[in-house]
Amino acid sequence: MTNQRLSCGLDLCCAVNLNDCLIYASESRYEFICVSLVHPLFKREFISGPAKNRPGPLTRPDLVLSSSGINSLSFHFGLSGVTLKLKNGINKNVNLARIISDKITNNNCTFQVWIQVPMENPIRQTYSYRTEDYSEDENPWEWWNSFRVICDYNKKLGVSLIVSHDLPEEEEVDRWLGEPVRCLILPTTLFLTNKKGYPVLSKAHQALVRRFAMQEVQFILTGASRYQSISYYHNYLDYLWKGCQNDGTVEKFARGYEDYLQCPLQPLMDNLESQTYEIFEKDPVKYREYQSAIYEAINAIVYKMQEERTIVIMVVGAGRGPLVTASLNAAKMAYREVKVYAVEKNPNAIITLQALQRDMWKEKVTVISCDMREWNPPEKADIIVSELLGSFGDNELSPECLDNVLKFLRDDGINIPQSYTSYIAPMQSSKLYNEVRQLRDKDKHPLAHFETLYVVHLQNKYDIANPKPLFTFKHPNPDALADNSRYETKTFQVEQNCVLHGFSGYFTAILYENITLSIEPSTYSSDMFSWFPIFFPLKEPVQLKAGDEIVVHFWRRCGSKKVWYEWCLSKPVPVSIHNTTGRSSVIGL
Amino acid sequence: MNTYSASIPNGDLFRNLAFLENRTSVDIKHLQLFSIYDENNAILGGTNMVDLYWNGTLWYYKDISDFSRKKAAIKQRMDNGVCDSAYLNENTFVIAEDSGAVRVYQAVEIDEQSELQLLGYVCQHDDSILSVSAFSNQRNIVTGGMDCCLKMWDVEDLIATYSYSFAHLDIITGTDVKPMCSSIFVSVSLDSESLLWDIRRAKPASCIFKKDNCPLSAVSWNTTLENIIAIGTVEGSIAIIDIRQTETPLCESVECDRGVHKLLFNPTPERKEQLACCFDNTLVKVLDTQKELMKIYEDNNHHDFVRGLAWCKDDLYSCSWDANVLKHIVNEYIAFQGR
Repeated sequence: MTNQRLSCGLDLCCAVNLNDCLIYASESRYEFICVSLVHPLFKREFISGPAKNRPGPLTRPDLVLSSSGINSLSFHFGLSGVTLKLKNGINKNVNLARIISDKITNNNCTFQVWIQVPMENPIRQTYSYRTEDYSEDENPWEWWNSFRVICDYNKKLGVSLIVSHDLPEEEEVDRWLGEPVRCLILPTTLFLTNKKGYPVLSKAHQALVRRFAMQEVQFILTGASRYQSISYYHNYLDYLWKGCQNDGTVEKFARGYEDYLQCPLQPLMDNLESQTYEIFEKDPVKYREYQSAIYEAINAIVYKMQEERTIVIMVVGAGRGPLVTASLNAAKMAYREVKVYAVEKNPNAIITLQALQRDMWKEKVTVISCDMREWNPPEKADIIVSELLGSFGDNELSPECLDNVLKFLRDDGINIPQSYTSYIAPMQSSKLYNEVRQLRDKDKHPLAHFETLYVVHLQNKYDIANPKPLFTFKHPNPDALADNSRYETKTFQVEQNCVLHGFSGYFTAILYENITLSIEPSTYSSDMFSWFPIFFPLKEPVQLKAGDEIVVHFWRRCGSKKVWYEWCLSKPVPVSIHNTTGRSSVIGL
Repeated sequence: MNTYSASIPNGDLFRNLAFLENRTSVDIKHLQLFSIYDENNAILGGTNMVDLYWNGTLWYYKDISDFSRKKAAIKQRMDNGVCDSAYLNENTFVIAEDSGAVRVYQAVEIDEQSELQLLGYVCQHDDSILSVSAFSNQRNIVTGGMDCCLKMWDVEDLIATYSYSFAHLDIITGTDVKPMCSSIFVSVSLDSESLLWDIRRAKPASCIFKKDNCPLSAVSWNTTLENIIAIGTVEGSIAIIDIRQTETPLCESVECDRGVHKLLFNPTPERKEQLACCFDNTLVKVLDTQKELMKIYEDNNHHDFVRGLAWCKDDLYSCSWDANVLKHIVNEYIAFQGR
């Protein structure tokens, strides 16, 4: 969450005097107002009769705002948003959708369109007054979903969610969190009066506000004030908002990166920058866990050791030395002498390693400036330590690198990590879909961006199903023939109607025995920020129905110079293979 | 307010902002509501819809022979736009505002000067009120509007005794009450349904008319025949319903190629079959509801949309966005036609 301040607007059903309305709203600390551009009861005749030639303006003049303060009119005023209410399903709104699409597809369109959608279908309440039963009870999410599909998922289209008295199922709220909800509309009738006589929200509504506050939504208060001053509502919302500020380690670190697409690092092909090293070295969790794992591994080696000797640890991909430090600390804890080889291919990092070796580590550490795949070690190692993991586990080619170094591991030696597993889960996020869609690269086919994986701090998304394990790699590799290519098929159940925009990816790693690192949500290593999740997009959103099965196929394919992923769907509808032959994205060896 | 231009000497010279000051008040053209109690008692209301300020004005008349604004006994500027009105009794009437508020006024005489006294004000609708109807008990009113909410009020202490939020799925365009009754009323909405409400029941509403994909825009309850209701649609059709059997309307026909705006039965018992209608155009019509909606009278003299209708004795009055009030001599016209 980057926005530290509550942004709440006031919906005014009748703006007699715009200036007075603005003063009224700002005196009560509301940041913006929503008013009709044209008087709501005004109508025009376009075809025939005397009223067609009615003289005079359509609405009030613009001078009132002294310029500091639909369509051509809102453009003229420099308004930031236009809002309209959906009251029924798409069968009654296709033409409206076309008109809206027409306006916002224009490149000169500067305003957003906020579609007001109720959380609950009001038909339930309407029929509570009647003896008859209603025939259909379409979820208003369907109204929105069809409307935005007709508008081709245009990113200028956002949701203004009208919060209902009765809140829908948790699962439905989760789905709204995967939609571009720009704002929550809070009717004044939603508020309860507390003991002191001020407006407050129920516990359930507070929880809802808290969940949406994570996504920096704005608020709009609508309806007649039931209290002495309209500012009471703002005061309460401000108080609630301040309680929503999340200042955890990860939130602080990730601020500004919400739903921002990053290309995964390719440390094998590119040398990392010192800034990148610096960020990762600050992770409070990762190196602590590595140190524990090395300590346990030293103890295990000692336990099995036949004769007394110095334990040899090789840190492959030592970077600027955090794992060397962790190894030395672990040895100290275990009261053991160790010899550490720090192998690093990046010449810039080597300078740092050499400085540290001379000033701090002395003879305990030998710095090797060499690609680990080409190094010929003078002796074999008891423990090989590496941190070559990407957000998807193997996507920074840890398997390929380690295959080359395991020949210098003693037969009873230990590799840290011992294994790692990638996870995938189907995801709805029209936000990310649009982020990918707007990427432009003149050297690439437009669809190439949909055949690329991204590192993203996922926020505005709905997890359609829980993650499932995909590819596992073990070190040392127990297989007779080391083959790092993979093919897996995973099946997911769809609980409610939603849209599939792609797959989120995570990993877990077993460093040693029961010491693990994880970014998979159910086992997440709390406070660890070194890895954001992965996103595998789909070229076309897939409309899903409750009860559908998603069957996704993932390949990890290997060439002599590169590794790449391919993915496709076979159910509920077949979707063509993404990144076939690695045409759009590869990881270089 | 505008710090940028304030910093430039004479920066506002050519911006014509002076028109905001010393502005003579604009004559309200858009007449919006109309109620006549008798020859000596009437109210007319209008809202500025295209001017800088969207406020309203009420005019109170003690003589209905001339509705020109300067002949009004009282001219009252309103802080908000006005939408509908209803008389509770000879001296008291209710005004519904586009702010969602209800105002109750009493016309009083102080030192031979007429004055409107505000007896009550309450704002509990969450959007503009489009319709207000008063029960014959002079104490209860029903309001409905753009917030899709229906409220029944006790005017004595202005408490909403019943409030039905989401009474309809879309804007409530009209309400009317059953004559000589204090618990039954009817509502119509853009959601294509007309509901009959009886507040004494646990499930108060029942559907009396539904026209798929055709929003309803006006309703009137016959003041003499307590089972007869007229309903108008945005497609210009009118249906007459007998609430004792609502399966099929008594009659239904398209009366105009524009939407019906208001319907009003003639309250005179001898003329109970006469239904006045106005539309989203300049037309005023009177139909015979007992003769398959036969046209009794038609007038097209307004220059802009007709918004308000009122009966007084045998005559019909209409007000329009052209700022005019017209008197329609409906029944001499019949006599003439009969000859």
